Amino acid sequence: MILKQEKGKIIIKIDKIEENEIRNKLQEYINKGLKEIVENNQVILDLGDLGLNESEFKSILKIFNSFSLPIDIIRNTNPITKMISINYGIPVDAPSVINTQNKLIPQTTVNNDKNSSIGSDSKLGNKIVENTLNQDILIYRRNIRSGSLLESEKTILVVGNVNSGAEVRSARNIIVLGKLMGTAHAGYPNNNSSIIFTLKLKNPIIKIANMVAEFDENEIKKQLQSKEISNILFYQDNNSIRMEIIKEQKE
Amino acid sequence: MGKLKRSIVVTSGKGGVGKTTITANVGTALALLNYQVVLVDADVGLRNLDLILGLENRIVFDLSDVIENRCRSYKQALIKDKRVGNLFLLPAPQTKQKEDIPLDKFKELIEEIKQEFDFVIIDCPAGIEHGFKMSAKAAEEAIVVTTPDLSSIRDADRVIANLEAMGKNSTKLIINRMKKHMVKKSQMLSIEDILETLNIELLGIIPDDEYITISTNNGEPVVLNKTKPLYKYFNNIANRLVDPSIPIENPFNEGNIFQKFASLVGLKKTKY
Repeated sequence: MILKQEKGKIIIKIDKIEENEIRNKLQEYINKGLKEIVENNQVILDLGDLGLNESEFKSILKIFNSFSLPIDIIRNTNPITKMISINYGIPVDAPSVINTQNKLIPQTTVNNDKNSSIGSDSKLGNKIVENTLNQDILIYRRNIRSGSLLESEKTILVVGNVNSGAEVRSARNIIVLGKLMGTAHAGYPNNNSSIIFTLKLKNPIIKIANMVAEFDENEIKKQLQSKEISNILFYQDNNSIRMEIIKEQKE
Repeated sequence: MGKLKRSIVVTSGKGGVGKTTITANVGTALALLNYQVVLVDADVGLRNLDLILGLENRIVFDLSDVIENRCRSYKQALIKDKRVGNLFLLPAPQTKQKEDIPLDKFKELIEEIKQEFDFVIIDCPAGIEHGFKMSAKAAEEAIVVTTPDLSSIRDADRVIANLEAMGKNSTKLIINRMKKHMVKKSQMLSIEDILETLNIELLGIIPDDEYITISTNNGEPVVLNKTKPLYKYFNNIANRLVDPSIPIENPFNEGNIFQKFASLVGLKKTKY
C-alpha cells in the first residue's frame, strides 16, 4: 500500500487484497496524522487493475469505515470492480479524467436509509452511499467474458451475454437479457426460491441453491419441435430444477 | 516525417494458433509499406520468431542482455533483416525463464524503442501468466489471434477480459486458419459466430494454407512472395492497422450477412 499526496488529493494505492496488511498500514498512517490531512482533501482509492468481487470490495470498504475514513473516488480499470463500485455509490474515474477535469466528478449524496443493503452490517462514513436506484438489483451492461466471476448478494441483471467459461452467482435471482452460455448460480448458497431467466441459451450450467440441473438442449428442442428456444425461466420445485418457456401473452 | 510510435502486442491465450507467424508476416508487410518496424520476441525460453524470420544465426545479444545492461543499448541487440531494410528483431533469451524479466523494465524498454520507430510489435507467449502480463502491460494496443475452434475462442475471450481489466478497450481480432470448404458446409464455426462471442473489432481473416508450413521452415515470411495467395491477407491487415477504413480482405465473400455483423461489432460501413 502506497500513500501519495497531490494537489487537494490523497491517493491511497492498494496493489494486494491483504486485509490485515491494509488495516495495519492504515493504522500506521493514521498515527502519523492522516485524518487531519483527509479533512480538506479528496480521498482517492487507487485499485489499479485489481479485480475485486463484491465481498472483497465490501471488506475493503469496511476497513476504511472502521477508521471512519471516507472514500470519494475509486480508480480501477477492471470492469466488474468498477460496476460494483458504482453500485455502492462510489464514483469511478480513469486517472486522466481526474487529473484534468475535476468538474466531471459526480457528487455523492448523503443517504441515511438504514435498510440500505450494506448499511445493516456496517456503518459507513456518510460519504459512502448506496445508489438508491440500484438498491436490490445489480445491473451489468456488457458481455461477461470467460474466466470472469460476477458475484453479488443482490439480484443480478445482465444486459449482454454470459460467455462460455464465465460465471454469475447471486444470493437472489439472475436475469440475463442476452445469451447464457456459461454458468448461472442463483440463490447461492441456499435460497431455493430464486429464479434464473434468460432470453437465449447455449449449453449453460444452471444451479439454484444447492442443486445443479442437467440440461439437454437437443432433447428440449425435440419436445418443443422448434429450432430455437428462448425466454426461459428456471426455478426450483419439489427438490428439482424446473424449466418453463415464457410465451408471449396475447391480449 | 514523424514516427507513428505505436506499440502492439499479439496475443491469444491458447498456444499454436499462429501468433508468431502473424507477428512475423504482419511486421514484414508493414516494413514493406516503408514503416520502421521492430519485432520483439517476448516468449522467453521458447523463442521462435527468429526461426520464422530466418534470423536465428545472427543473434548476438538478446532481450535479457539489454535489460541487464550487458550491451550498450537496445540498438546493439537489434538484428536488421537484410531482405527488408527497415525490419528489426529483438530476440528473446533462450536460456532464461519468463519470470527473469521484470515487468516494469520491459515496459520501459518498449517505451524507449517506440520513440524511434513506427511500430513495435510484441510476440506474446501463450498463457495468461507472467509472460502475458509483461507483454500486455508494455503495449498500448492489442491484437488477439484466434482460430475457429471452441477452445481457442474461449481462451481468446479470457484474454480479452484480462486486457479489458488492464484498461485496454480497443483490442482487435484476427481470425486465423479459416477453412473455406468447411465453412461452406457449416462444419466449422463461422465468422459471425466468433464475432458474436468475442464482440470486438475484426482486423482481418487469414485462410488456411499449406504454404505457410514451407515458408516457416524456410525462414522466409510469406509476404516476401507476392505471388502466394496469403500475401494479400497479411498485406490487408498491415494496411488496416494504419487505416481502419480500408475494407477487410474477406476470403469467403459472405456479402450481406458479413456486413450485418461488421456493423454489430462497430465497424464502419465498408464494402466487402
